Amino acid sequence: MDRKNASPQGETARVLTEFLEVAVNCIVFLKGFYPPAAFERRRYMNVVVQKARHPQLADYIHSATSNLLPFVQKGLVERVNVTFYDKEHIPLEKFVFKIDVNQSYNSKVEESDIGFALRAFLIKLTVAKPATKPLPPSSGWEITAYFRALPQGSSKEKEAQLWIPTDTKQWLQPPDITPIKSMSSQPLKVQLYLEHPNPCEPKKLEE
Amino acid sequence: MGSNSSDRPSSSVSSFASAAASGGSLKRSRNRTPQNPLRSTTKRKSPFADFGSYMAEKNRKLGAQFRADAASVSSLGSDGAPVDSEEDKGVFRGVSIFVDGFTIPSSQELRGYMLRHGGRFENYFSRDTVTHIICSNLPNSKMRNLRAFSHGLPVVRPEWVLHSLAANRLLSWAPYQLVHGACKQQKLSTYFRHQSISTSSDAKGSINHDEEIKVGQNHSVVPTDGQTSECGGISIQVGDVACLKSEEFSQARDANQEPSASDMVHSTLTDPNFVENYFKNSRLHFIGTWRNRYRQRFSKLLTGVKSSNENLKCHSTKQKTAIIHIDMDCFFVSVIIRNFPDLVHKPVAVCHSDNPRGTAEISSANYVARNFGVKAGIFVRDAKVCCPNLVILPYDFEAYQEVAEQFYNILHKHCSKVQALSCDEAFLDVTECDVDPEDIALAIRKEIAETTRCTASAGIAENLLLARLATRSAKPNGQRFLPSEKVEDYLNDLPVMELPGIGYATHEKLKKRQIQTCGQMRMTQKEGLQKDFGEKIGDMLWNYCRGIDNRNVGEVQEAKSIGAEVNWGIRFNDMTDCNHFLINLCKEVSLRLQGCGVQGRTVTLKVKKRKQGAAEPLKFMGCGDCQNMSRSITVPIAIDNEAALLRIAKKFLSSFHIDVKEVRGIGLHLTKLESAKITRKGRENIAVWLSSPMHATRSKCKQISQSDKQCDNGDFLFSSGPPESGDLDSSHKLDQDKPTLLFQDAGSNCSSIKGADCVRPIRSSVLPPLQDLDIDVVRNLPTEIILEMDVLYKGELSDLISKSKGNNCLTHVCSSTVSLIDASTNSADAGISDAHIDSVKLGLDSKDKGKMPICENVESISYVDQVTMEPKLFDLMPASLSQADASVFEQMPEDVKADVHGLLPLHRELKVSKDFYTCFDFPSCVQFPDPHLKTHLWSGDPPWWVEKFNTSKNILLNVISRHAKSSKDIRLSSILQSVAPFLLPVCELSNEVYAEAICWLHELLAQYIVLKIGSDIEEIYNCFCFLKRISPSSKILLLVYNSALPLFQALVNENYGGKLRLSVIQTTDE
Repeated sequence: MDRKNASPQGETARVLTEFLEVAVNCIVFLKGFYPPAAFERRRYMNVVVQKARHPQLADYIHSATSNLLPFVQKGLVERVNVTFYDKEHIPLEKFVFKIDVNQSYNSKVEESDIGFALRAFLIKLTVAKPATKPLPPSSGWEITAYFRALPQGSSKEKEAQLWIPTDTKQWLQPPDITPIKSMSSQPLKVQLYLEHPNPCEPKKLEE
Repeated sequence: MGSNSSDRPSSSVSSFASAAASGGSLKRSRNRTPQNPLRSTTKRKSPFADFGSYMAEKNRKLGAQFRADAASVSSLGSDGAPVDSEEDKGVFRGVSIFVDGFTIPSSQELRGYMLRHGGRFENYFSRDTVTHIICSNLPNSKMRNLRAFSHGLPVVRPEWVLHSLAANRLLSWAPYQLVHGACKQQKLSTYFRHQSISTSSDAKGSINHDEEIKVGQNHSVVPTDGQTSECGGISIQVGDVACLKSEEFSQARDANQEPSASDMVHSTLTDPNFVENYFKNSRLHFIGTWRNRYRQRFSKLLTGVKSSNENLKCHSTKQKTAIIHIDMDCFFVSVIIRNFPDLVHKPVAVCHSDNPRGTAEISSANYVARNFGVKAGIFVRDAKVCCPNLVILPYDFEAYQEVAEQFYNILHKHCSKVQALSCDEAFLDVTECDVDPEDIALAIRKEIAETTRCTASAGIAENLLLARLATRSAKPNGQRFLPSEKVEDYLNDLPVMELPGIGYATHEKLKKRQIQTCGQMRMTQKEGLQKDFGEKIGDMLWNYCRGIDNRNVGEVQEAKSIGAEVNWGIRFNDMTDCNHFLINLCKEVSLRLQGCGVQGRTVTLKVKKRKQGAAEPLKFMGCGDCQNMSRSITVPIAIDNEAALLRIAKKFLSSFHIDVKEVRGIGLHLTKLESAKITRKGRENIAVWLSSPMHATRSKCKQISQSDKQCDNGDFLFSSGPPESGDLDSSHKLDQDKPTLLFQDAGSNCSSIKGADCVRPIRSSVLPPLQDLDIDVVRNLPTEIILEMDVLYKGELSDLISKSKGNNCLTHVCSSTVSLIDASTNSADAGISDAHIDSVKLGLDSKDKGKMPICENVESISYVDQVTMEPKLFDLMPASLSQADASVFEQMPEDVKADVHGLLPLHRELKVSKDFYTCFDFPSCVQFPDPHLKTHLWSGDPPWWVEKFNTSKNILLNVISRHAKSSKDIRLSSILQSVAPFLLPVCELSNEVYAEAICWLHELLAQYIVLKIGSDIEEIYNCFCFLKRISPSSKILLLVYNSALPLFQALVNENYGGKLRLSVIQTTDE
């Protein structure tokens, strides 16, 4: 993470991926997916957050988010989803980070400005529980990134290969959206909202 | 080698010495030890077998040195005291002193006296050789075991040596015995005590004492370092020692005690009050509160100044202004010394303690002392180092007050335009006087010198700044005229620090920019200064360094904050101490507020907490290194009463979650001050309200007879003159049914039933009465929640909060309303006829909410003439308004209507149209403008629509625009939230107005959606959630909501591929 990013986008991307890592940790904790004991209290941007203690879990989140860095910087990443799905791998709930990094922004970026705006997400996340739905047993979750275009170019080949196409099933109906938090601070716009399946979504077709 | 030998045992020596001597004296003697070669040879010859033999050898040698020194001194005879030395030789014959610890004079000086006068000086204590122990302070443990420490030898203060020398004979040491607590460092508990000790008889002294100890404990100001027992020590010995003590006290100290001694006996018998005494003895407090006394005293003259002030401007153009700045020379000292003519040419300082070793701060020093480097603010002990002869005198606040009054009498006599800066400093505007300003200044100074026997200096120049600067160079006792042509030269080399308004921080900043003098500062661009220091200060600096000052004499600034803070002597043992202190502090603050005739809405509690690991502060009982914490709250109603302050202060203090033992300072301040005159009448009610858990109020409400309240309210209305709009409309709403209703119910407390109904009959079972809500808590809730609650309460809540915010005249009304409502819930079950409910509802549902019921009561009963003013009802016409009600206000006189309309622009164009509701659904009027995806309404800052709405003829839009302007946050959601209460009750407006408003609102919202959909879905979501929530109560918002929602959902789908779920907490009543 100590990479020297001279451009404002690079700096923003670094802050953002770092933030995403923390936010994903928080979301997983919020959903109660793992026992609370699997998390420890940490302080990030002066907000108390939860961080996974299990090395594999922490590593998954860390690698997933930090590997987004080059793509976020280039503005390729449109959304980052934290998707919770049931045992049939049908999504039940998605936390969507809609990201927009202004590529034409050239001024210097104050990390504190962005940090301040992102902080609000973490605060809002801690109280977002009522908007979420309880998970059924034996559910799962994953981090999915939606790219505006598939990464190309040989230099990114390696990094791009770390990402595999998701086989998460899609909803047939447009989902219900519950906004949680939005921010817009040049050059970064982030919106976090929840997606739930539409009530008229055909349920468990298989059965 | 020699150094080795003396260094080696140092650690073990100190352990040894601690039994007999302090480490301090050891160190000194060791340093003094000359390192002669003989020493090293002896060492080599007989390496000390043990420590004992080493010490024996050392003592022997020191003795030898001393004798040698004594011999040389006496043989020289000429240096120290040439005449005396021969004659006096032998004053101390047979005396051998041992000096323990720090003394004044120092141990070396004492040694010198001993040398010269035949005594002996021991470096190490030994029962056999020492005859007197000299010390001025002892640690507590030694005091407790004085016998063990002294081995029965007299323990004497160093004054004994000095006085013996002065008397040229060996005085009895008995009066100089070191007694418990002779250390004059004052502890807070003894601080108020010693007065009584010195005045009371033996018997009484002991009696007093018991109480005092108790008091001390109650007092919560118990010293932490184990000195409590010392205080006890004093008291035990009161009988024998008191007289001695008072003798020893310097003259000044006696003087200190005298003024208060007479009443002190009383005050110790009653519960002495730390806070009160603290401020009684505080100079800063004297200065701080002086202005109020001045105002009271010179209020007549001041108003005179004001009126003449108006003329100032025209005059100033014709004539060159002449300002005199006059300042007493070291006021606090010279007022005291005028009674001691012999002190005039001696260094004198004023301080509340004259303990030469003390950490009391010098508050003012005369010019003689200043030449020695004694400055205000330094510790007494440092001052004594600078200037050992410094005479320290106590304050005499009465004298200060007297002199200040004389001072201002003289000033007012000579000039009508006086601006008081402080008790000893003022500006005069002598432009209009025909006499030469210098002559005026001369005359004033002369008169001041004659009347007060103190001198003053004056500076004369063309503006306040220059006059003040001129005074500085005129001091002491002089005057200086600074003609405008010399200003530039004068300022050129003036250090910036000299300018008023430049403190340490600004100075440091300037230093970094290589700006030291005004001349250098003049080189800097104004913009540069403004950039570095902020607009205001930059502007000020720019002006000041050019000698420009546009202020006028007589511009008196109102105090912005009132409070009290104690950072000295705060030591608590437990919560009881702390609470006791808080009570006193609140009392003090409350008294100050009342003294100034103001009330404050924002209460701030500051707490100084000892920093982790911070040692006991250097300054005795001071606050030391502290962590500052503060918390503040803005209450809806300005307060000045003790109970309310205490309640808030306690709440804050507990919210800090700190150990009370760590507390080192507490301050309580009020800001957002409002004149109390208007609110005063309602005070009792506020008190009731603020301190009201519901039971209290309920019972109280029953107790307070209806008639009482009426009188109250009546007075209030009369006295407050034309009440503000919000007030008026509430208090004048009344329908004619009510008087009868009231009269029927007057006997019982049923009259307040209406109150209950204000919380709609249906809901009253579900919702807690408004009065049960802690308003402080409510205020701190997020606005959305307040709004939601507000909806449930039909707007009463926001009214309660916002109205009280705006105009304090409402306070009283609110408070009484609240209590009434509560009371009424109790009696709600008493049967009420339908008719009554109906009419009541009118008042309640209508916009002005909760407070009307009471005012109605009041008005209707006792002030029928005022009642006539209530055409207001129009604007507030609720949805459920019956035709009968409408007819009531149609009967209102026209002039009253006009009055009301003037006050409420919102309703300026109201017309009574009974058929309004029938034609309410007019979707045809609402054209959905094609979402042509323009956002022009939102372009600009503030957005274009604000101006557009403002200039529109549509009053609804006007209201919205006004709200948008007043709120800094131009997000639509917050504007909607603030404006919603005004749209809630559907006002009686023409269809066109409605249609237009809805169209515009729709357009506004639509463009907002387009603008924000990409970046801030949360914000739009908030708007819609709010609209949805509020729409059941507001038709207009419902229509807007319905019309804009499809667009919103379509755009969400387009941008986010989903449909927004608008989950809203439903209100309970369907």
